[in-house]
Amino acid sequence: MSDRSVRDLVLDLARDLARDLARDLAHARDLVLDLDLARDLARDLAHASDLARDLTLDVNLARTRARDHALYYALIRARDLDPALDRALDRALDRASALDRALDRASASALDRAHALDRAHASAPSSRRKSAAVRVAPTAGRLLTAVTRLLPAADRTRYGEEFRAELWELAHARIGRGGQLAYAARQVMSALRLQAELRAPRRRRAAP
Amino acid sequence: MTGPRARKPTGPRMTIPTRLVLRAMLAEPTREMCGLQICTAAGLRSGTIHPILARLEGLGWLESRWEAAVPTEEGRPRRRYYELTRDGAERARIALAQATTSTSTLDLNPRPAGGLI
Repeated sequence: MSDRSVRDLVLDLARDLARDLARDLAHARDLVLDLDLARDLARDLAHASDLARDLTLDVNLARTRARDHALYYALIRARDLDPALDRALDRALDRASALDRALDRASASALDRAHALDRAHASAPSSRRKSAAVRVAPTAGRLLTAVTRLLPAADRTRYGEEFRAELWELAHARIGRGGQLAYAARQVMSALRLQAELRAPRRRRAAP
Repeated sequence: MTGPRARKPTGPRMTIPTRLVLRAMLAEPTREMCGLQICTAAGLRSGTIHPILARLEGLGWLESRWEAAVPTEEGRPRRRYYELTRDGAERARIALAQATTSTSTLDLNPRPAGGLI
């Protein structure tokens, strides 16, 4: 092998080596850039983590403050309400006391009137006392009024008066409210029969 | 063929309460009685006889009037008094006799008066 051939071969090898070195150098630069990017990313992540931790703390703090705020205003309202309730209670107690006194006065007055009536009753003539003792049941009276309304117009006054007289006689005979009501109920039950009899064509006109 | 049956003017339907009322009034034909007294005498409950009295009055067997004057010390409403007419008393006796023969088994004796109700 000649010297020229050896030199050319060495030159080719050197040229290849230089090209490989240049390529490796470019690759190394790319790696350096990637490392820088990775470092930046790691720093950003750490910052984000810090932010998240701070945010969590802020939320907890806000929640605590909101609870304290609500409690504070509730306490303020309770404090405002308390005197109002006290005043309302005082007014209610005042009214209850006034009502109590009024009831006492009314009770005493009723008692006085009852005693006065007792005295008047004791001093009244016996016949008057007897009349006053007659207690006609109002419901029975109303029932009898209803019965008379079922009768022909020409007979209402007569039977109304007659029924009332009988009811009075029952009351005078110490027939109680139940007995008087039973009497009135029987008049109710026989009202339609009486109405039919009074409307019968054969009927002579009775004396009013 | 018979024609429509003529409806002869007869007395009241002689129901048991009607007979009791007539019998009570015939016991003292000249006595005037108010409604409650008739009830007591007939043994009927108060408040049941006015249709009967109205029927008998409509037929002319009874007549009624208000009592003339109520004693002021009584302080009560005036009463309506009923009395058999002369003709009514006679017709009532006949009607009761006929009813009794057809229903002789019925006990028409008034119940013992147990009060006004």
